[in-house]
Amino acid sequence: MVEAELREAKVVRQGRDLIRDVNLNLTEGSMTVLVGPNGAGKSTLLRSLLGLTALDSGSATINGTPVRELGHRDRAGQIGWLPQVDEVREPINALQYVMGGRFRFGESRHDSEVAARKHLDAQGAGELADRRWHSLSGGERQRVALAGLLAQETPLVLFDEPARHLDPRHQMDLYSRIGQLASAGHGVLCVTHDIDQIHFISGEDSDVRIIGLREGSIRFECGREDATLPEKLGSLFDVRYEVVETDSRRALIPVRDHGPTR
Amino acid sequence: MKRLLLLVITTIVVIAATPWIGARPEGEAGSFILNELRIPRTLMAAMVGGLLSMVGAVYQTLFANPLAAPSTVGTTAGAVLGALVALVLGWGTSVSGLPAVATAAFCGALVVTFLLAGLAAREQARIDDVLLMGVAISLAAGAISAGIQFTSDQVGLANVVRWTLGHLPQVGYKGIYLILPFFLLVVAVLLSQVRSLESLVAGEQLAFSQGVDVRRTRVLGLGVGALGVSAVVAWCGPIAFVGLIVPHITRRLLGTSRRLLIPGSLFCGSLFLVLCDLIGRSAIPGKEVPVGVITAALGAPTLIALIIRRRP
Repeated sequence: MVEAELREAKVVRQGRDLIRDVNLNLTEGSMTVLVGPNGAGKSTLLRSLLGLTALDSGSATINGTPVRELGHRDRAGQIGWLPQVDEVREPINALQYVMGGRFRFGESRHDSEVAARKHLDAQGAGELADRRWHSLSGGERQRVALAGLLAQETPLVLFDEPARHLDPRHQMDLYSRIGQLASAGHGVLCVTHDIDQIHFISGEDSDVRIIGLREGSIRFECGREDATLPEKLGSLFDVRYEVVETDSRRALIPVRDHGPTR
Repeated sequence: MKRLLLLVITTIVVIAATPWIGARPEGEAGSFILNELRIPRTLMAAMVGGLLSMVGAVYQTLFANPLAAPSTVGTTAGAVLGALVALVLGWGTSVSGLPAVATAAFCGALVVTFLLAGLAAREQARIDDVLLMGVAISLAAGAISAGIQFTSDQVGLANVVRWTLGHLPQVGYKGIYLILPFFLLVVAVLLSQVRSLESLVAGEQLAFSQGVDVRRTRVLGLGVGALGVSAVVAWCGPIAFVGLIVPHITRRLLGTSRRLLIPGSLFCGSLFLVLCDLIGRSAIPGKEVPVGVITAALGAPTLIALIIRRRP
């Protein structure tokens, strides 16, 4: 059982705490959604788990070993990441992108390619293999990026606002794929501020845990079906949520709150 | 892959044929010209061109910038400054058997290299900052160089101008033996980093999360690359454009995959400089045009043509 853990994690940049007193664990087969307003420190938290950002105090570990002391390939065998910012800067094709996920295996190029094609096919993106990255639509890119992440074959996977810029159908599609990962045994941590989208993370057998982050610290942690969730989210984002029960699900509609803000 | 093979074969054929092009070598003098002048000189051009171009391709990948090259990140400028100091001060001809100018140039380039590699190795260093610092160092070194030239006498100035044009000075094999270890080191180290460099193309941070030791690749690529360039510039002067242009030409021929581009740049650079040198020594009968003039004269229009023809 692989477990990544942040304990009393604190990151300071230019005198400002990006995250502080953060305790969080991520285990295989669990689904955690991290929500919070812009600048809450969500990305910093992910980057700390990955070892990309050094902590100023506290610890970030994978199975008890500080993540930054792990060998690069060892770490990449445990935890993978779908970043928010697309930094692809050259006309590589989808297949090459996905092959990046195979780096840690140190395998032959042929084996990398076979594995990459398999993962592209699994995401229904097999026909995109030879397409240039920059010619892909937003939805196609996310499917290829997901294939790249899964090609790394890590037990733990992190997503940073994966559905940004996607149209509603692609958002639903992506979130349900992410939900399936937890059912398949991955430990998933997904950052978002699309509250409503949380409901598309289907995961009947796995509980979806929601963590609210604001100004660098964790404000609440509860299950998705928690009755007080709308209230908690409201104070997290400084809005009020109206709960609307539809035939299929409970929807949260944000409304402007004229009451006193905290 | 086929194209790379074709490039390799072409390069080897051209290198093998070049010494025999030109006035036919006859008799004892002819055999001297062939064995002690043309052959070593062709070999030198092949090594220098290949090294500069391969380092350029690696720099462009590391810095994620098409303008990164030995001449733009400060290595060359440091060498020029070192050489100028030696030339103008009229230092003795040798330091433990090596020309003082080459030694000073090598030291100048190394200082800049260590500054840059030190910055690149820092945890929080952004690669853009490293490139900017290289450009700043180039400008500063250029200003000091101009100052030195302005205050130097006629003889010193003539030497300086000759040196800064770039040349492939060859009588015998001394230069070959000097450059060869650097050449082999650079080729071996850079080829060992091809896989990592390829991963960098999708973003440094993503590459890190995929298991690439980004810092090591940066420091090795920058440090070893610049070490090789320092040796070359010390011996041959700043040969313009090879490290900047040839990787772009190679990219048009072989595509952007680093697996092909980096070794391809090595051979393309060799081919380019051997041909430039051939033109330089045979274009004007009885006179020799410094190879740096030819590379710039050919390289600049090539770059312009590439930009204009560039597909979106």
